[in-house]
Amino acid sequence: MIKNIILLTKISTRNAFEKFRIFDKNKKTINKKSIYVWLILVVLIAITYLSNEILNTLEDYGQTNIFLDGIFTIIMIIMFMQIIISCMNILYFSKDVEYFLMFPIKTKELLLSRICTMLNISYLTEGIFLLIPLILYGISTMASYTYYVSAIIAILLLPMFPVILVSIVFLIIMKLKKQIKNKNQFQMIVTVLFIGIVLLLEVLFIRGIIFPNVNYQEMESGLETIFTNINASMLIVNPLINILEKNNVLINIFKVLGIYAIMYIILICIGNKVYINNILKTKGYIKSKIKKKVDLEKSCKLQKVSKAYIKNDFKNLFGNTTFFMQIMYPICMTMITILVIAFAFRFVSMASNQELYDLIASLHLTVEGVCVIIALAQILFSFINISISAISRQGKSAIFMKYIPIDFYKQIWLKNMPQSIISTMISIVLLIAIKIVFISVTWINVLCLLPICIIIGILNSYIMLIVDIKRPIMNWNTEIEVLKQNGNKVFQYVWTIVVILSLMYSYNIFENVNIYIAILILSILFTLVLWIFNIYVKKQIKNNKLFKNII
Amino acid sequence: MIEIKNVSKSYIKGAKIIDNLNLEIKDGEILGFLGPNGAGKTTVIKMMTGILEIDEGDILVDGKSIKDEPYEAKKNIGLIPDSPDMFLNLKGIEYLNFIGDIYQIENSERIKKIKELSEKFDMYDALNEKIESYSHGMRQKIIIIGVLLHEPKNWILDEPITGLDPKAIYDLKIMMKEYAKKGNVVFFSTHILEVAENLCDRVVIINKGKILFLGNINELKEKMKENTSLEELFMEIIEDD
Repeated sequence: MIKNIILLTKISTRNAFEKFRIFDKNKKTINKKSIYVWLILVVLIAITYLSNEILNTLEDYGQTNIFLDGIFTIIMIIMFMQIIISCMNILYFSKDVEYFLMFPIKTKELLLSRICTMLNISYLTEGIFLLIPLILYGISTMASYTYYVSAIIAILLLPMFPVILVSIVFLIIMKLKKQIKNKNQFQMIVTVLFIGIVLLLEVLFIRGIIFPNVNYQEMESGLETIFTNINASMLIVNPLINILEKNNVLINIFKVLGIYAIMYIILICIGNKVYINNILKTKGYIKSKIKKKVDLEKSCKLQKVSKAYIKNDFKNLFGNTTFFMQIMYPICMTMITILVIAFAFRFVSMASNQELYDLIASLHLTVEGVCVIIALAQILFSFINISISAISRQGKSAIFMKYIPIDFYKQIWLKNMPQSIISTMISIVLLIAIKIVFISVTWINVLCLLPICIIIGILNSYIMLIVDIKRPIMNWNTEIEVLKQNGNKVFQYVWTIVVILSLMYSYNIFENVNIYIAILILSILFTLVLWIFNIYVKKQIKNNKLFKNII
Repeated sequence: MIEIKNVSKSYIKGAKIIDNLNLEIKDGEILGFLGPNGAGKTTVIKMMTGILEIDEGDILVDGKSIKDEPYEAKKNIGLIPDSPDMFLNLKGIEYLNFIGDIYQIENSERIKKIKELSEKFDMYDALNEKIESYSHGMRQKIIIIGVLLHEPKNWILDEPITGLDPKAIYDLKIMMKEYAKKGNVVFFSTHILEVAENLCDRVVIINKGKILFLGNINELKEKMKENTSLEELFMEIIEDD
C-alpha cells in the first residue's frame, strides 16, 4: 500500500511542480530562466528583511515571543488559503485523478496520495514563508541545536492540520451533491466563502494592527491576544509553538500526534465511504443533468459589433472558473481590501485617537503626494492580468481574430477595453479610499487625479496587450498554464518600475509647481506615451508584424 | 471566386513550404484539396483566410486582395478551422449569437437560421450548454452552424469530416452540394479520398508545396492507369513525386 501511495504521490507532485519549471532537467540545476525562481528569490529577500526588522523591534521591547505567535498565524492563514483553492482540484478535478481511476488502486491509496501531494505543495509554501523567519528567530534568541530540531518537527507537522481538515470538509461537502452540482458552481461557492473568511480575518487584523490607541504596550498585548486566539482555534499551532519554546516538549508532541491520529481516522472513515463515489459523481454530472431547451426569441438580440466583442471578453473572464479565480478574484479582493483598510483607519484608528486625527488632517495634497498616488495606482494596475493574457486566454480560438472581418486596429482597442474599465474602477476605489483617510483631500483633488490614473491604467493595459499579442501562449492544455507559465508578466513589473522611476524624477522637476499644473503636465506626458505606442501599433499592423505569432 | 496567384510561403528562410502556387476556384464549384500530412494544405487555407501572411504572390477573394483589402475579403469568407476547440466557455447559443453580432445578422433572420441549422445537425437541444461539454463532433457542428449563419460566398473547410458521425457527414455533404449549387465556392481539405471522389467537381493534389494534379476525378483516372481506385491513384501521384 505504501509503495502505491509513494508512486502516485510522486507522479502527482511532479505534475504539480513541473508547471513552475524551477529545475532545469538537462543541466540538473535551478532554472535561472524561470520567472518563479526570481519571484521566490525576491520573496525570500523580502521575508528575510521584514523578519529581521520585526525581530529587532520586538527585541527592543523584550517581546520576541510574539514573533512566533505572529508568524505561525500568518503561515496558517496562507496555507489555509492555498489548500482551500487547490484542494478540490487535487482531490476531484485534476486530470491525473481521472487517469488513476482506471487502475486497480484502493480508495485509501488514492486519497492518501492526494493528501501527500497537497502536503508537498504546502512544504514548498513553508519553505518560502516559514523557514527563514524560524532560523532568524533562532539566531536572535541564540537558541541551541534542540530548537532547530524542534523547528524541523514543527515544519513537518504543521501543514498536516489544514490539509487533513480541509480535505475532510471537502469530502463531506462533495457528498452533498444536490447542493453542489458541478465544478463551476462549487468553485464559485468556495470563492464566496473564502472572500468572507479572508475579510473577517482582515477586519480582525486591522483592528489589532491599527490599534485604537497608539500606546505600544496596549498594541503589543492586543496583538498577542489576537494571535493566541487564532492559533488556539487551529488546535495544533499552540502546542507546536510550545515545542519550539521548550514548554513540555513531549506532552505537546503527543498532543499534536493525538490530534492527527483522530483526524486521520475520521479522514479514512469518511474517505473510504465517499471519495471514489464523489469523483464518479463529479465526472458524470455533465451527462446526467437535465437539459434546458434554448428560447431563441429571448436569446437572440442583435448587438453592435463592439459591444458583442467586449461582452465576449468579459464572458471569458467571468464564465471560466480558473480565469475568474486567477484574474477577477484578486481584483475584487484588492478593491475590497483597499476600502476596508481605509474605513478601518478612518473610523477605528482616527476616530479614537485625536493626535493621529490632527496629524492626518494637517497633511495637504502636494506634488509629492500626487506622484505617490499615481505610483500606487500603477502598482495596483500591475496586479491586473486581463490584458497580459487577453490573447493567450483565447488559446487556439485566438486565430478567430485574424479571419473575422473586423479591422485589427479596432480589435486591439476593443481588447483593451476590459482592463481599461477595471483599471478605472480601481482608480475610483483608490481615490475614494484616499479621500476617506486624508480629510484635507477635496473632491476637486480627487476629480483632478482621476483622469491621470485612468490614462495610466489605459496605457498599462495597452502595453501589456501588445506584449501578449506579440508573445501569446496559445497552445495550453489547462487554463492554469495561461497565467502560471506566463513569463510575459515580467514586462508588467518592468513597466511599473519605469513608471515609478519617472514619477520620482517628475517630483524633482515639479516640486515647486502648482499641483493642478503638475497633474496636467503629467497627464499630457503619459497621453503622449500612449500616442507613441499607438503609432507603433498602427505601423506594426501595416507591416503585418503585430499579429504574426497568432497562428 | 478565389484566385491564388503565384503564392509562396516559407517558415524558414530558403525552405519554401508553398512554392509558386496558382489555383482558381470558380463560383459554384466544389474543390477538394488533397495531400499527405505536411503537404501544405493548412498553410494554404490559412493564407486564404488571412491567418498567415503571404510571402510572395496574392490571393483574391471575389476580386478583393486578402493582402490589401483584408476586411472586404474576409466578409466573403467562412472558415471551418482544423481544430473545433474554440470558445469553449461559451454556450452554443452564445457562440452563435456572437457570430451573428460580428457579421451583423438581423434578429429574425438569425433566429430562423439557428433553428433550421441546429435542427438539421441535431444540435438544437444542446444549444443551451457550454461548448466545453460538447463532444468533438458536436464542437465541429457548432462551428459549421456558425459559418453557415452568415452565408459566406466562399466556404473554406479544413478537414471538416473529422469527428463527425455518419449522419452528420451525410448532411454536411448534401449541404456542401446545395451550397455550391447556389453559386458559392466550397473549398475543403480532406484525407478521406472517398469523400473527395463523391463530392468534388475538381480535386487538387499537393505535396511539398507544389500542385501535382488539378482536374476532375475522371481526368485523374485517365491520366493514370484506368480502373484503379482513387486511393491507389493518390499513392501513385505522391510516390512519383
